Amino acid sequence: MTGVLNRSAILHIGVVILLFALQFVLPPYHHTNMARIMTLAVFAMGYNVAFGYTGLLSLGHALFFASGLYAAGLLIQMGGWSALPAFSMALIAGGGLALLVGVLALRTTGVAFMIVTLMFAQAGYLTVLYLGEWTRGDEGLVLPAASRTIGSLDLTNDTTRYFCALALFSIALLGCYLLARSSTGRVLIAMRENEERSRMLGYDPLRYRLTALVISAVMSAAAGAAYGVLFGYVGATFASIQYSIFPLLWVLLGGAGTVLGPFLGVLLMTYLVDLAGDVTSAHLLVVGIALVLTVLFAPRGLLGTVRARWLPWLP
Amino acid sequence: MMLTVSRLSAGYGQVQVLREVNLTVAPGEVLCLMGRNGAGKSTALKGIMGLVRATGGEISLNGVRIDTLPAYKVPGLGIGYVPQGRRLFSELTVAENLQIGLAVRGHDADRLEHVLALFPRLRDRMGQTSGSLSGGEQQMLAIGRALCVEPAVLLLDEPTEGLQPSMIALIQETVLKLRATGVATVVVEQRVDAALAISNRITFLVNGRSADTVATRDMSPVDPLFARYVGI
Repeated sequence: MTGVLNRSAILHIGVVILLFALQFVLPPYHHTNMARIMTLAVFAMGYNVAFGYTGLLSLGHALFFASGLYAAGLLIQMGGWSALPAFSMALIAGGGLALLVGVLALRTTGVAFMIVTLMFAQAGYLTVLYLGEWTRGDEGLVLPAASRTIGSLDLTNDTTRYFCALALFSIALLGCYLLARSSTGRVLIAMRENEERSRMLGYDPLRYRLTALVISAVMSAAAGAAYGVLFGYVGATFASIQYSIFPLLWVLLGGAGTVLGPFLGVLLMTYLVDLAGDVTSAHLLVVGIALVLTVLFAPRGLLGTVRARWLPWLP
Repeated sequence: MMLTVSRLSAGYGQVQVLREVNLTVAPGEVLCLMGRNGAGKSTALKGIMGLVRATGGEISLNGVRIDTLPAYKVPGLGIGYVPQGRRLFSELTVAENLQIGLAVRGHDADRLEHVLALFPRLRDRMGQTSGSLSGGEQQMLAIGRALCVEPAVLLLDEPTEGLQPSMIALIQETVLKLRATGVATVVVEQRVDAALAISNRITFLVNGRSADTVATRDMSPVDPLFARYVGI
């Protein structure tokens, strides 16, 4: 058991060290791209807690990402808050919203849950547009560079931005790693496998599903707030259905229910879109083909398949 | 702890399966439920666990009603349940399945050791996913997981179904060991020899109703009650 712990711990620490080292060699474009990927990977890891571990197939996670994005953005833009307190409030906003949505949506399961979460997210998107006086609707807000600081750290600086994204990514990765190995994590997987079996063993499904949704939403909100603060833009696109579908695709591609899968999914998808965009304007077709191939040949996602075939110790 | 089921009625939606079932099981006693297919044996166990909502009657543990509680609170009171077909979490390892059982009442290394002492073979399979175990090993794990809540009452739904003779003997031996430690056990069993080997009493169910309850010491394998109620 200890050996298994060491192998998986070393792998995850190795990924963080590799990402740390990469920033010294990456050209500027990829440097910024990687900071964006790490931030969005936090969103994907959050989604993975709900979908990958607990089996909650949500189509409304854009709501949680956007709640963090707008909570931080509006507090900075209109309230004159500094980045760190605004970021903290964004976590509370995401968690609070998940409690509200969860208490209602978790009374449903399966397709009904997907539809209810989708409706909540659409309501959130329309609210952003309706409150255009503050949110500036589709146009969005550009956060002033002067407000994007943490103490003496200038978040508009590429290196600082990269390190902040890496720090958030590392915390999220550690959190997911510990969750996956904890008894709570195992109960969440048990819920995913069979809710009634979990109930007969003495676990309250609503409580555990709500816990998973809140953790997932807080991570999504953290990613949203970080995205706004690090890249300086808060827009309605991030509240649209596109940003509810993206995390699902990232997690499916990388491997649902694996700790590193969501990161791998974001990384591959981002560069796939990038590379395909250089070749053809129909780049989404390429992405679609990649996803179809994944579903056909690696239905558990890339890391899920690796775990099933070669590395059973992978968390 | 004494488990008492009085005039229990329950079913699935509009379909009533149990009609005023009565049974009791005392500490250190094994009660066997027998009857034809569809008589309501498995539903009776699910009813006790709250997995099928009671529409009438009472279930009490040491005089305290439990039929009004949500199903997830029942194991915490000390009732372990091993459903038909084992129902393990196939993607989790043996260790993880046991840990899920242990965590219900707070992790306790002694309880885990107790389970592994009863089923030493599980110790060698701790890192293996439960879906990859043999049928007998899965049944050991299912019973072991139920024992992780340190049950005063254990409900076993056809624990020897589809197992080879050596495994059946091991399961029966385990039930007898548990009986000796004071655990009250209700077993659904189809096989007469198994029922007579492990139980103190047999309650026969007919069309969702409890018919006769007989002490097994007064019975032989060719007792006419088996022919009447089980069709053997």
